[in-house]
Amino acid sequence: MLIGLQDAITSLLVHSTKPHLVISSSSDHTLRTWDARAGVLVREHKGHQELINSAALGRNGEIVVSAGDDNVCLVFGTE
Amino acid sequence: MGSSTKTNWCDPSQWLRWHPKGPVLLAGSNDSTVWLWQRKWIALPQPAKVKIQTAPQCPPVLPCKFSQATLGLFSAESSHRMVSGLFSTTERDANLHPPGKRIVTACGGNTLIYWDPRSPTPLFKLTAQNARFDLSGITALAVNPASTIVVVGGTEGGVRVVNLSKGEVISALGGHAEGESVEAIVFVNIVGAVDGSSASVGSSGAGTVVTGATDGKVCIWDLNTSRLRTTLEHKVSRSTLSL
Repeated sequence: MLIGLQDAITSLLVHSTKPHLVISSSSDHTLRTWDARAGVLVREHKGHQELINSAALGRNGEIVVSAGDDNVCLVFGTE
Repeated sequence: MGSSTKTNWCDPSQWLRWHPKGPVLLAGSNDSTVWLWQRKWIALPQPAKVKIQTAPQCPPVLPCKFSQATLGLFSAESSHRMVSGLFSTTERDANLHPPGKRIVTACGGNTLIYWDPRSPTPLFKLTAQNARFDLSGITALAVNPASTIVVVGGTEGGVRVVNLSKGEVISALGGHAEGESVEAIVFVNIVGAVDGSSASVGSSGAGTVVTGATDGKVCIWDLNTSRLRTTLEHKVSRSTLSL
């Protein structure tokens, strides 16, 4: 059987050029982009080996940078 | 400007916020104080062997150091650390206060303070003595684009909506699990998403706010109705053997 396992949300961001998009970081090692209007998951970014502490968007919203407990910063494209 | 007998900033900073328009930095400290700094960039002599390359749209990059002058110091007069603070918002159509003209701070001891940067005396202060505002400690806050409302989250999963004009709790939002800390709050522009414009959330009312907590939930709230629009959850699939 499959069960859901919830992990803590550590930060939230609003997309700078698409303000209906919210990006959440989590202790489940993922960064996720949600459409707040439709309430659906748009994108999931994986790569961290530990929890993500914080994230920041580039000025034009094309990249998002995440910082994790694995001592790594990862740069993801938002598109 | 704020005044104080304290002249040295020695306690570690907890957070930093840039002013939405001017070269001013707000810094929250462990000792329940907030410092307001004026930024000055001072160009230093360029190292001879360093070639500075700049893109056409970027200003020249020069070695510089950060110099500052204290504009104000605000104290919550508490034994708790300053957990967060914000300037009023960046929206151009803010009709209550121009952008950056007010400061909201939150202290770990469940104290929310609204400041005019020109005065060390708070415009209002909300504490746990107000039963409707008791969050067992504040962990996160966000101000709506019109600077009329602040949304505050606490260590036990509680969320409160506070009217910044009156200093009163408007509503309590219950969506996160009890005992789970609210870690992040942001306002989101649903209106702009619908009509494709960049109209501010504040122009259509209180707006839509998003809260995230250690229960793994992202809650989206309509503040015009104080109702939960959607709950999103971080879930990872885990295989287990069912006996």
